[in-house]
Amino acid sequence: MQSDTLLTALRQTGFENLSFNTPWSARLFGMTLAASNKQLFTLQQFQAALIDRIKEQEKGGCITTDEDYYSCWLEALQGLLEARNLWQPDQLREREAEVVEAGEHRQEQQRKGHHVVQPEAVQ
Amino acid sequence: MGHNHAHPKKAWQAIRTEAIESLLNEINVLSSDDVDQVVRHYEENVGPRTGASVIARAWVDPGFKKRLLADGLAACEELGIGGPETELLHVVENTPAVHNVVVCTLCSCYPWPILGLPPAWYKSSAYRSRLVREPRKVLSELGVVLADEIEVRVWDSVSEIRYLVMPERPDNTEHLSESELIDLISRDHMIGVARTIELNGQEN
Repeated sequence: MQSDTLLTALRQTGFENLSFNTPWSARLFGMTLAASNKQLFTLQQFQAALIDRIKEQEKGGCITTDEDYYSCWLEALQGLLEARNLWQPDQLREREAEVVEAGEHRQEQQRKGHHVVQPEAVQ
Repeated sequence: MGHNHAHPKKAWQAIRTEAIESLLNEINVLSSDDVDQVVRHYEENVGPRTGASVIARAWVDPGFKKRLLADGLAACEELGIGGPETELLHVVENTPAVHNVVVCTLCSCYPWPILGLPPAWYKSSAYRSRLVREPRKVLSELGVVLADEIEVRVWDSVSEIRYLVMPERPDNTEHLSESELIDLISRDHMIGVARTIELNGQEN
């Protein structure tokens, strides 16, 4: 896409006036501010981490969507939290596998026609 | 996989976000309620109408306008608006001779407590990289075509300072209430990617 038409296109995505385009970006934003409120890091430290991550991203491509942007945000937050050694190196990977497995289980239950009582917080 | 038909895959970002939140819960660093409160606040309480109420007050109250231009955050606090996410707020006033527009070239700094969260295009590489270099061209692509004699001032939120554009009050609005004035002001006016204010369906 030509960059001169990009802005016009971006303004027509239909997500113009939503606070968050995806549930996960909402959780991510909420976690970041809540973690800052709990003094795990300052917002200035987060901003610096985000700037670094965006700079890296833009070496190889552009940020064009909310997903691109919040992906940088996610990696910035992950880096700050991991710097505090809040969990063991393998723990996050294991928890991700559990999240995937739980999601698949829910989908399997839905496919079989079972009602799942608890809604999915992040999808 | 126990089945062979396709399900939509969860995005890796959604998986990692959920995993991180789950770990933070588990080690009692953050609760889901802590996160819920922030999300709810930004989804329900904060948005461009907050900023519009600040601008409308400045339009009807010259004393407030003076204080707002001198110290944006202190003036907003008078209206009960603010938060730890913004440390300094610099309000810049449009005039017949000057048009102001805001960008954050390094990331996406934005006055969250005043305007809510920024739209996708504000965070895009295209907007962030091009606005400083060719502001008139970018603005014209966004529908703001400025006469040559109008000076364009681009404000880059690179430090702790956040910017808010105060659009000009349209003519023939003396009869409108403050609440009706608020309805005229959009997020884009306060970023500076809109200049004309619609009045009764007609451009002013």
